[in-house]
Amino acid sequence: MTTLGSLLTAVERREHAFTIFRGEEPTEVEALFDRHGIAFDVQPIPAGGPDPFVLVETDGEFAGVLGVAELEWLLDPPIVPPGDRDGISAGYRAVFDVFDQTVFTALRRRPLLAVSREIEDRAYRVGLGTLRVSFQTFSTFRSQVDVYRTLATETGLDIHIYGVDDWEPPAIPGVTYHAVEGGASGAGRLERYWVLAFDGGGEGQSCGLVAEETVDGYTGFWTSEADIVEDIAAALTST
Amino acid sequence: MPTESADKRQGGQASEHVTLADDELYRALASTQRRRLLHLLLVSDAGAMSVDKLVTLLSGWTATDSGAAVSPDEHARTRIALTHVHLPRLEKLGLIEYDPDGGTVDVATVDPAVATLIERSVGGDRSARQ
Repeated sequence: MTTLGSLLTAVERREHAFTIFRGEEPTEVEALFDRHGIAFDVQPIPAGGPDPFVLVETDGEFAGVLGVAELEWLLDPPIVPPGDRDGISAGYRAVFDVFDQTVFTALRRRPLLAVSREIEDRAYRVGLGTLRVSFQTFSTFRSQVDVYRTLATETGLDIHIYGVDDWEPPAIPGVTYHAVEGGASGAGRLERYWVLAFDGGGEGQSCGLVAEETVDGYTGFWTSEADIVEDIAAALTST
Repeated sequence: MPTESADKRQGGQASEHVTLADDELYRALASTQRRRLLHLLLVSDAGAMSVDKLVTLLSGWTATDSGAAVSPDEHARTRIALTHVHLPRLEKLGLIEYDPDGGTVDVATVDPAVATLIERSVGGDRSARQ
């Protein structure tokens, strides 16, 4: 059976190579990668060439290049409600694509919130399909009630919320709550995971996030790969 | 003798010293990708550069200009344009030496006035967007 833990392990096994191209000056991205457990190489850019950028290769194949400036949202991500995309750089969505299935360690809540917003926003725009979200605890969901009320009332989305039953969430048409038991074993392990899975509503917009809370922030990844998103949803529903 | 290089080329000789009086030079430089390509080769002191590295640097340049990521498809298109259009064209003009089998490109001996023009054309490109 696929579990959230085994999904993380499987994604971790993929080979990602990151190369930072830059001039003489180190970039902030190097410190960022160090902090999040991402190994990288550095290559020089000839004088007068492009601004610094990152090359990503997955399993030996070109996966993408992105300007270092666009990676800044990982340091200081914008937080906006779904559907409100004003002022979001193209780099925001690009980072989502370029770092598909890259396992980050020591993630803080803000970048995870930004990634969650991106997934919620895709679900909002498609307006159909199933969105499953684990908030770890229902009390964590409290600050997001308005966001999800909007998602549920303005779209035809089927929304499922998972978490430890430590607070009574309000009834919202279109939202189903699944209380999980707390504790270190069995279903209670879900308590450690921040998870989103949107099935794309049949429009090829699948996307998901799995992040496990550790002593040092979260270790997790996001993806737009439909098969993996299906596995994430299956791992959630089987708990 | 400003027309000498053009005459030589018509005579089938490699135009090793394309000059500022050569119309073909301006046609060759009427492309951002080709100006960037020449600039990267001119300022690189590492000698010959691999086509792979040139494609990566040009893709990086596109990405940092647009603020968006360059996808694998776009990257593949850049490579095709480079190997089928830009490199053969610059080689024909005698500005570079391109080895398709080894996948390497080196800059040829360039008239200093032409090199300065290329430098300025890329520099102008940069200051225009800042």
